[in-house]
Amino acid sequence: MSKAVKSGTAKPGSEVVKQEDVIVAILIADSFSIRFAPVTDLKPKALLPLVNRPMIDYALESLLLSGVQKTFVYCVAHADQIRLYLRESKWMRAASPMSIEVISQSSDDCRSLGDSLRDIDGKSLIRGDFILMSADVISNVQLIPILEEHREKRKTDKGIVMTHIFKKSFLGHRSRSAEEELVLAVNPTNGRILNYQQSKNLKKLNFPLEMFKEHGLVDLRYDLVDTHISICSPVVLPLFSDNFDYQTWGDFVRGILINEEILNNTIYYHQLEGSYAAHVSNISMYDAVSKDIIQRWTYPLVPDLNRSDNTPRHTLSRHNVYKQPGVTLGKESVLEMDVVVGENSEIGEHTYVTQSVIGKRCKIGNNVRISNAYIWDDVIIEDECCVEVALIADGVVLKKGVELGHGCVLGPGVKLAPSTKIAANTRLMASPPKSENDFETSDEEEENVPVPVSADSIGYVYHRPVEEDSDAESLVDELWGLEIEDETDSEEGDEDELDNDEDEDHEEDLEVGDLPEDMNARSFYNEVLESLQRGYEEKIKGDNLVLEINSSKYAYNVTMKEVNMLVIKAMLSLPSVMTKKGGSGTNDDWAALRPILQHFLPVLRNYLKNNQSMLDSLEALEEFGVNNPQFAKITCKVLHYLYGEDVLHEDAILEWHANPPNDPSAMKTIRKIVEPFITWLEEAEEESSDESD
Amino acid sequence: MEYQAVIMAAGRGSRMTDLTHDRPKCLLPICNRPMIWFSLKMLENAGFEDVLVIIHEQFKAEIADIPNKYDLKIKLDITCLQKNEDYGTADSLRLIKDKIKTDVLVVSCDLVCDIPLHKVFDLHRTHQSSVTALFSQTSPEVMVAPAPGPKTKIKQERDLVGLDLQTPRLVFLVSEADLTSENEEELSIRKSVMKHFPQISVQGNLLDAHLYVIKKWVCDYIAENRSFTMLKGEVLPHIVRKQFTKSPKRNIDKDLPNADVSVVSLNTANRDVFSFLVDVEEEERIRSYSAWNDHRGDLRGPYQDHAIRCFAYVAKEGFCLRANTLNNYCELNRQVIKRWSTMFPDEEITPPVSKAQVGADCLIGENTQLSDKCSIKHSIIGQNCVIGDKVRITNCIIMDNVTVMKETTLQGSILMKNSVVENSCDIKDCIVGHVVHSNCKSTNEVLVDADRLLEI
Repeated sequence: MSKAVKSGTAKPGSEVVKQEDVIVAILIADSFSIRFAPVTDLKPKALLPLVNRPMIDYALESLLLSGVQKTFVYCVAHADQIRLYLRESKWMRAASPMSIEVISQSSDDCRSLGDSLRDIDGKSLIRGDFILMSADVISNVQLIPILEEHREKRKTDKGIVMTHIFKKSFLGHRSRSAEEELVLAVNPTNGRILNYQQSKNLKKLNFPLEMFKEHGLVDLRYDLVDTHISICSPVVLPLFSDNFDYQTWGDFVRGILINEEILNNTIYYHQLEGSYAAHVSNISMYDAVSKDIIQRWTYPLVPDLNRSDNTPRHTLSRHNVYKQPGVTLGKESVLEMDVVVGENSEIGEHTYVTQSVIGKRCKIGNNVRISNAYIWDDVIIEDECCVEVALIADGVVLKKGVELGHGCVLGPGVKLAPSTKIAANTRLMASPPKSENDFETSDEEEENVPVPVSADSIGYVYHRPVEEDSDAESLVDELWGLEIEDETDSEEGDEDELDNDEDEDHEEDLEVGDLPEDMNARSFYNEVLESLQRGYEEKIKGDNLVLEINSSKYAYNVTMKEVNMLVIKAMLSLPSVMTKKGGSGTNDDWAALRPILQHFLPVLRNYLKNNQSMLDSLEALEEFGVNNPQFAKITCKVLHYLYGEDVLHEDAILEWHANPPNDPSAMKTIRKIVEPFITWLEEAEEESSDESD
Repeated sequence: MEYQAVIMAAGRGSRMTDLTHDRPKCLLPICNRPMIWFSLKMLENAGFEDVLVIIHEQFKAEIADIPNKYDLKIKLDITCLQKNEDYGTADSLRLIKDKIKTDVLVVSCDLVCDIPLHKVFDLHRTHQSSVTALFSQTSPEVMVAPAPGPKTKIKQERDLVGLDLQTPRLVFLVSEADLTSENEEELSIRKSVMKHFPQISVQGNLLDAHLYVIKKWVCDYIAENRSFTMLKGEVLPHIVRKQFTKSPKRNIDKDLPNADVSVVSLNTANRDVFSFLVDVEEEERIRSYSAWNDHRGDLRGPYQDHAIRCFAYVAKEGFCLRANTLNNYCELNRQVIKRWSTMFPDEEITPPVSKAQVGADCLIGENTQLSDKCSIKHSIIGQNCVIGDKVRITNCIIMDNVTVMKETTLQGSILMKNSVVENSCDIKDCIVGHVVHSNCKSTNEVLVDADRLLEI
């Protein structure tokens, strides 16, 4: 509560200017991502139309509605366009209840939220609590109560740096962005955030035990969605400046939580009740938010209450069909539901439109089918086109009979020749991709000259540049953004699959979980099986395999006896593992097994050196035979072979045979099968002993 | 008969060996009643007419006599373990499997609690729960209660209990000790669990009352599966985890090489947990006719379509404490005497008849002689004791047949059966199990027979 807050306009002379005096917000007009490329190549994301209105308008409107008096708009990419737009807009008028100041990046290397906040800190514009929001956020939240809550908390907790706002949204809800999925550990009694994890690529979530010890009650929340709105104490900016590792909000939260004990900084969460907030992070979220606006979840931020003055208001008719003045509808054309049509657009005869947004001055031909599509201004769609689940930017021309696959994104100025068919999830742009992209994959270099998707078309397939520090992970998250409507379905599907996988994994865990020692044995067994399989397929030398197996032995801490037994078992099961089917119970099995054993003779000789180890291996052989009845038939052959190769000595075999089996009922069968071999062996021994006599 | 009750009374009291070397834990007195009386009383109040009790053989007669002695109507069906047999709770349950005909309530003999049990049963019945456990909020003062004997660091065994915020489902249950030893100080939760339960409340300050209502099929499963020894440590976490396993419609044995299986399951006859489930289809059919759902936020059916489900009843009010450690044992004595009239309104305790100064929260057993000039505060004195002149007793538990001679001061101590403290001793926070000679001064010590020490 210490420092007085002043916006840029407050007079330095006034002694006590209370914090409540001016409510300040920082709007970051860049998302530092290329989720919307190639659409954002020429236009900043903040100015992309969302239900026929630039996104930034929604953000500013949200701030205005919640009583913010001063907003700093921080621009990075295409700053001049944003500046120009705002200058012309109602926001810059003297009558505007909220004053706006546009700041551009001071240096060119602003690449993240962290960089921009450091930049803002350098300008020392802010001295009190402020609201931090991204320009692609749409919300109807009343922020002042939350700001007051934040100040109230500071009375008990001096270290409070941030109250971040979350919205509850259950799994599978369209306003959940798969990319931004998160798990939050909070203390429900005081609202503190204790742990924050981005869970998208995680299968397991780990939480430090210390946290549970310290806080008797911890809620783990997977149902929250980040709204990208936070109430910040002034100390947030210097904190960002102090640590250049803080790039994103997530970095910041994690950093604060880790250094909590040293700096004593705390972050709180606020869960929205009954109000709307969403962040247009990618195209599927764009789709979700557009639908929310059309279906009026964002009230009062809805098309028919559009307060911006340079566009006429939409009129609302039933089934959420919004039309601006000058819309021409052809004969028997249908606007089914959730449709927005902009000024002076024409829709031809027998055209069917549902759940879509059509911009200004568009010309839609006859017999066109449009559903779940976002069509911006000045787009021409000729007769018999089919546009489903697509985003079509300004000035696109689709000639007669063009069909777009689901999830296509057409950049500004793309022109498609008649009857072109575009595959699903393709992104097209009007100019050929720049060759300076040295990250392109090799096969593309071969093509070298980019080819338009079809003759007479202006449209080149857009490939995402591979980001410098991108690994497989970041590629995956970008792919998410590609899917628009299908996302929910496919997500479901993936999820189910995942569930299955995980459940299976887990089942295995459990089976062995009851017998902890066996878990190691089992892992060891699997590893050995893998080594052997590879060893056989790649003809690796026996010595190397022994080395490998030995290292596994140490890793899993299994006894020598287990090693002996498991190695034998693994070898015996190799044929069925490799062919993925059980033994047939015929001589074929032996034919399959023999070369394997032959290959592994050195390995076996290494392990079966003394009597005990041979007994172990015989035991294993027996167990394996019991568990695999079809194998039992060839046990005798295996035994004979190993004896012949001098891997098993006759003393060991006879000793094994003399001792009663562990499991009398089942083992008997094996004993019976090997009976002829044993008698032969005994006879041979007698003979040899006779001879020696 | 909807439920059967089982009292596990063969525990050794391994966390309070100073008291339990010659008496079983279940017979240690709490407010001059054997510990097991409290579980019996609780079950009788809940309406049980008979109860299965598992004890060690040598105390059979004594325990069998308890209902007579204290006028309980409940009938005991006693199963004995041999003297040296050490059976875990799951083992014990396996032992009496033939006597189990229906869902069972398993109670530990060291539980003292006045939480109405019907609420636990209601929860169990409503949700057709596989296992329902009773938890209670522990008050912080119990956690730090002082105990006699050598000072040791008080180590409360804490559990991390994961509860769904919407329903009283038990999502996970781990003991902190297990995590600390195995998992490098981390709790890990699979994301698929979070997908089923997006809001989990993890509570670290709940006391597991070791009171479980267990479905019949789970008992069968335990009986079959010999690898289980303890309910709390093994069975419960296992069943809780099994909630998230899909019931197998597929035949696993077919795709895995059999060698694999033999490596894992030594017991080849191991049946999958789902094969024990009964009436699942019936239940599913009934539910399919109803629009009822226990949760919202996703499109899954009631109970997330789980056939196995565990519930937790978290008692917000009421008294619940287990005498499983020395601290808790002492604390129980102190707390129960305070709450006696509310907890057991129908059980009268003999008011002290003496001219001695006996303060509040005291209990004096029958035939105990108090001299005129002794002062007793916050203490419990057993039967047939003799307390001499000018003896001051504060915050003590004195068992039966104890003699305290004159001018002795006793503070925060436990005096075992038949012990004697002679003249002018000053004993503080000790456990006394034999004769303490005159003018002895001791603090935080265990004063027991030397020959017993040798045994250990």
